[in-house]
Amino acid sequence: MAKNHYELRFSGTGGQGMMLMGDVLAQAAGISGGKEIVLLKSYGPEARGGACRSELITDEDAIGYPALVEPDFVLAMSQLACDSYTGDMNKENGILLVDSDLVPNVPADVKHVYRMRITEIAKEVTGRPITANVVALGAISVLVPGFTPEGVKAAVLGKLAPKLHEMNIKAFDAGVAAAEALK
Amino acid sequence: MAEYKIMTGNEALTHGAIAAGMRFFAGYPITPATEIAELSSELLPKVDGTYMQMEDELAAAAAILGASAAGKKAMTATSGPGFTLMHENVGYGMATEIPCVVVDVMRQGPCQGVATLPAQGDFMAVKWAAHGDHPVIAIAPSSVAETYTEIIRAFNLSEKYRTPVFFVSDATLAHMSEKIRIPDASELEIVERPQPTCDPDEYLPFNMEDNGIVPMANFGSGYRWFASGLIHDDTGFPVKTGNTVAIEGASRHLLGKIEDNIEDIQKWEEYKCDDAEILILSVGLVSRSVKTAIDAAREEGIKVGLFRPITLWPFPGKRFAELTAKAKTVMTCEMNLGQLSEIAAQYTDRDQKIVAITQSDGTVIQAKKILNAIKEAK
Repeated sequence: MAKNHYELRFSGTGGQGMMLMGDVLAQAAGISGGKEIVLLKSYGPEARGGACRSELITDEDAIGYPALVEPDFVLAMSQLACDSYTGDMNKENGILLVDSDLVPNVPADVKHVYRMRITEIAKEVTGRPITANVVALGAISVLVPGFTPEGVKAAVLGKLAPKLHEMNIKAFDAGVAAAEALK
Repeated sequence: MAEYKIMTGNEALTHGAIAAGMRFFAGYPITPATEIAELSSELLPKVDGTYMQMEDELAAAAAILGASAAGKKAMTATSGPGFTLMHENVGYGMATEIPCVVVDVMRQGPCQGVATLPAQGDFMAVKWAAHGDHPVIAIAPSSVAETYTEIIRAFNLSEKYRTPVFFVSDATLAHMSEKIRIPDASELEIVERPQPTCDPDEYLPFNMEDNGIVPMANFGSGYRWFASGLIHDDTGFPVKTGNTVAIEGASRHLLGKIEDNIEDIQKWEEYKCDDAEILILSVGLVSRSVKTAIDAAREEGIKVGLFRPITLWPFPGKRFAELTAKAKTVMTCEMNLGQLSEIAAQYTDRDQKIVAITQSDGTVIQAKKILNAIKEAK
């Protein structure tokens, strides 16, 4: 209800790094960006393979009701996640980003859908599908208002051990480039 | 230097407790409080503190009282089912005036309830967590940042007034992350426990006469004292059953030491109350949904405000009554089936309208629901 209020959801299956995405963007918005944030995580008992999501609220002002009401951005990294977690999103102005190889069916009523071969891009540039979430972070830094590639990249690197930086920079930059091509 | 960090409610609680001087934690894991034990086990050894995993919650409550009697600031953390098991020893802590902090991260109850979902069903359980007339201080934060600052206040009040202090959070607040400012240690006001300076032979561990609070000597320091859960006199030894004056005096002392210092203990927030025709009483995390609803209602010209006790017990009733006297309608909003609404009734006129928003489905009440209730109540 407040101005400057933005709600994001990162959904997929356990092991795709959805929790880390929430951590990275909370850091970018909250600490580097100086905004108020609320970060929520939800996952099933399975460590791998279960449906999971993390959700982030960013706001210039204090955050009241601490849960999503109408997400402005949803990332779906599996068909199950897309089917389960897009129903409440802002269909008119919200943004839906999907991994097009994993999510063939997107809801017809969402106006702004970006289809990206997120996991395939990760495999191409790093050889590691596990970096798909960092490709997605690169894309989000371009597609979602309030974030910048520089700010999100710094937050990514801040969360990862130095030996992982080179690989993840490649993944991040590929996500940025892919999003710019889509825009 | 102060710094900003992003952390969960349970993490903020643990860091705050250590900043307050906690050097002993005993507990038994339970969702949604487990992360407090987990982080305590990691951080306490680094500050020369001790973490003890106990066999159950009865033992956990006993262990923190023992550690506190030996001079350490001590805490345990649990949820409803474990809290129920702690009641006996919590009463012992009240009777023997041993400081400690007991955290109840509320989940849906009664009994095992729903382990992973938030609720506010323990408001009255913390008020009546021991049998008999007993002192109660309970604090309820509404944000991660407030969890940090208020757990420090919980320790301070516990030390100042030599009594167990309850800290009630909930599953959502415990697990959600927010940005908080971690103050520099020099900014914090930390109450340290004084030690007696008299001749050890002359030491009296209690002062029933003037609701006095005597420095509690550390066990093993050479000052001997008897920590009896029986009604006792200044020496700590049980009073004779025929001594009705001493029995009543000791009972009144426990409540009196809180009552005498109520202004120091009570704390609350007033949000847009100045001209409020509708006054909403709400505590903890859900009060933030109330604020969102109030902002929306005010855009439509409805004069509505929030009264939020941060010290839940003793309830800041004097100020609440002043505000309800000016309001046409009093509302309560809580994640249970109506515990605060009973309190609100005590502070309103008989002909005043009370509207209770209650919810017990394991979710935080949405602002939309509160806004609708405000519009209906108008």
